[in-house]
Amino acid sequence: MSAQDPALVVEGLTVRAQGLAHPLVHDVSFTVGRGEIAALVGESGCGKTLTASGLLGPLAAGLQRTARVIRLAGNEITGLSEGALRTLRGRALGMVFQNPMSALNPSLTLGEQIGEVLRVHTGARGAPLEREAARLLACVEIPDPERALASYPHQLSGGMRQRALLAIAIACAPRLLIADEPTTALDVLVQSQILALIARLGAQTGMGVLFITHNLALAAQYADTVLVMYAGRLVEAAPAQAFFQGPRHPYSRALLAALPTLAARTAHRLPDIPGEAPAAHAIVNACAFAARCPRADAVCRSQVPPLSGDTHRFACFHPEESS
Amino acid sequence: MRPWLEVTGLGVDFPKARGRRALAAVSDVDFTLARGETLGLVGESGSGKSTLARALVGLIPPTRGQVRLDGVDVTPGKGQDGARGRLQMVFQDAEGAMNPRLRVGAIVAEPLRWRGMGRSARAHEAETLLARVGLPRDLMTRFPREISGGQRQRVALARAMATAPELLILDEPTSGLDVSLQARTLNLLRALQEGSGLSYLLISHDLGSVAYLAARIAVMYLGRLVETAPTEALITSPRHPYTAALLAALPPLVRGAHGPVAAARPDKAAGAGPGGCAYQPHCPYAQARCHTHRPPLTPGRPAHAVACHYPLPPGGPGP
Amino acid sequence: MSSVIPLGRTRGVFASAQARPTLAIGLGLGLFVLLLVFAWLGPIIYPIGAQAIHVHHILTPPSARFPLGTDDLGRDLLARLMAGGRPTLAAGLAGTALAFAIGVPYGLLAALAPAWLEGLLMRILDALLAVPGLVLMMFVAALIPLGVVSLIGLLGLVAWPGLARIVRNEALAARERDYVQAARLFGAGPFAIARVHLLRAMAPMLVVNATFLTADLILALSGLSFLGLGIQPPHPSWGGLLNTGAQLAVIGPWWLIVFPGLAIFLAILAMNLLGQGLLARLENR
Repeated sequence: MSAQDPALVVEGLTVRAQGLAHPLVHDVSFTVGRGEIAALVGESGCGKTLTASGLLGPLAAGLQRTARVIRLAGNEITGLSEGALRTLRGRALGMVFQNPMSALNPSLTLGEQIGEVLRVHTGARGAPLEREAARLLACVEIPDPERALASYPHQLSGGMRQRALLAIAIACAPRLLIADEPTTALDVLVQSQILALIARLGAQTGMGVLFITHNLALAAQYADTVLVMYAGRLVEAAPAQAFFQGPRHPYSRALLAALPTLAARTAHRLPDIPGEAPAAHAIVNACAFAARCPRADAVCRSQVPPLSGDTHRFACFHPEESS
Repeated sequence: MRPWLEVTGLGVDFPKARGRRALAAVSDVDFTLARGETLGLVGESGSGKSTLARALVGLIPPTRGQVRLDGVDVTPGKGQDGARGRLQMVFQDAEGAMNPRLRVGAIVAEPLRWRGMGRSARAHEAETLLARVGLPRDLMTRFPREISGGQRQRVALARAMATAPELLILDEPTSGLDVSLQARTLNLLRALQEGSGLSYLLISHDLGSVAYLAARIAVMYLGRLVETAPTEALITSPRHPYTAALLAALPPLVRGAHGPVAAARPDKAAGAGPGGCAYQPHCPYAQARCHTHRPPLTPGRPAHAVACHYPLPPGGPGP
Repeated sequence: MSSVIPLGRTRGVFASAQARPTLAIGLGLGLFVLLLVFAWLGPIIYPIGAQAIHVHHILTPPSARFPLGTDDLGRDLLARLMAGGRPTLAAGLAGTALAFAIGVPYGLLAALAPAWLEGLLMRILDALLAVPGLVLMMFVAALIPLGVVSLIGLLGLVAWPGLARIVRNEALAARERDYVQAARLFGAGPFAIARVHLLRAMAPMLVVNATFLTADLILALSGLSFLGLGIQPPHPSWGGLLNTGAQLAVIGPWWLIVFPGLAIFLAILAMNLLGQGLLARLENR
């Protein structure tokens, strides 16, 4: 793995479920650069979590992944054996989830849990191991690391638990961090602290971050790249600045318009999106958003728009004007 | 003029383990609400927002204080039944607030059942209520788990409307909903209110949606109100350092050009002294007095009250 | 979920019922229905009197004429098993029904009552639970000879306190749910809440308990009858038939032990399979 490789390159990721004719995640391609935060944005059920777990993790029974390319820090993993994949995951991938309590072992102290990970990855023991564990906790800005190492998860606040989980995730200096709704369960103040911390860690270490969220406002604040998913497909992928200046896909624009912002407080009505999102496998020969889209016509209802474009990609026959 | 709803000195204690002192979950809460008005109540989890809501409707009897409606004392637990049905609450977890073994039709009409309405009249009313929140009648025969989260949210709202309440307490009505559903729920709430004289107490941690619906906002911190102000004044010129921190933590996309940017919030380890300001350990502006004297909620310029010894100057953050 | 009458039964053998609940429920229910058919409809197909004495056929082993053999008075065992099944199964079911009729309202009342009444009701319950059920039954039955109806009454009376406690605990847990809180807010009284919400929430748990309790009571009644304290001869019951077999065991008529024992075993097995299957389904949901 060379230091110049992007953290993650994905081409043509497709996840199928047994017994369904059409995939749940369809032909998803994107890149997460070094030190970059890519936000995978979408509403519940759009396939964003399945995409993340389909990338590198073992899939649930009945699910099957295919991809042309999945390169984690320069290492091609399609075709890798489960054992080799596990080793690579351990070396190059960290993960944090929405609920840190379920990812931490309630009967072990933080020190024991971080120590375990460090022992496996660095082979360190004894005093150096403890020093390294304390250094990690300091890295995630936990005050009084020595005391925190001796604490059990239930003795910590939600924010501290999420920091601890982050410390475990970065213990092996991963090249990619998958953060799946890492702050959804947290309060606003803690949320901004944790996300700022993740951004700082990424910038300092060159670790790429795949940030999965339903919250466009957070994506706008922290992401370098925005990937919008709808019904199992990427519908728009662009650098954050270009995206928020002028989203091209009508769905992206509708999502942004529906945000209750402080500026919207005087609006009479928030523009919402009519109808409900279809299941990924339900739409075959049409744009999945066509039924809810004000710009849709006969073409949209008979063909799937391809995701096209250079740096700002979108899948729409009648895109919004770029501004 | 006397306010329509007047809450004074409301407090709720949770009894602690045997012999220990009771734990105050909510203390000294004062606020008023006019007919047809929406008051937003924001604060972090554990700040006592939900406890306050439950105390107002009597699910948890308040330990201290008074609730007056049209000048009549309707404080829950005092024997009066004056507010029954006039104050109604929509629970945060819509699914948990519905009996999974009852059908939507029965759920929506439940309040009417306890008022002695007959079965066929209830079915008719349930249809009307569902229509008011924009749900089709064929939902009547479904079970809660067979409908979507957004639909459940509306069913909960329809049920709360059944007794034609004058005040709806909405506990995190949009938490857990996707952006598009959140917008639809907020629009629906506004539409229900228009021309009906219905008042809302909107509890949320999301300042964006609160600002959209509420004309005034109350900010709660560790069981006490620290600032109440008209929405406009609160978001453009917060006086309490905690309110300023909440605003500063909003993503720029939500905050827009409003409010202050980043007032640092040091995470000091030391807790507040027993008599001090609860926010003092986190406050960048705390001084000696803040450690020893709790600031009361003090009315300031028109309807802008703040509980702080050294409030931020009007019109901008930070000394 | 603990057994209502502690009889020292183990449920380890039912682990597989937990793994395949549908099969367990089907098997248990089917087996129990078969036993009911055997006891009530059997005599139509096999019309031989349970009390008829065949003086020339004392203690004959199973044969074409007497499929399960005869006893020491020359009575047909198959006919007696059918006749003995009726009071045994009926007492199990009716005893359970009686225990529910008392235990469920009592448990609900204890959960909903104001503190002083709850304290009183729970203290009564604790006192009743302190008495070992089987010993109490033996004591009463030894003092007064009991008919089938009074035996059912005794079974129900001994079983209800345990059930009441379970019902109260479940009701207390259900009372904290948001939808019950919401019902309070909508003006529902405690009894309306119990009827509409608590009973509905507890229904699956009650069904599971009913099956286990029926098994417990069938076993308890058979035990009493085996000891000569239950259903009195000459009226047959499975426990009583087993008693006869055990007394004659030294002279070796194996069929008098095997068939009544098998009948009791199958009845208990059926209810336990059913109960375990339902319980597994309840827990999986």
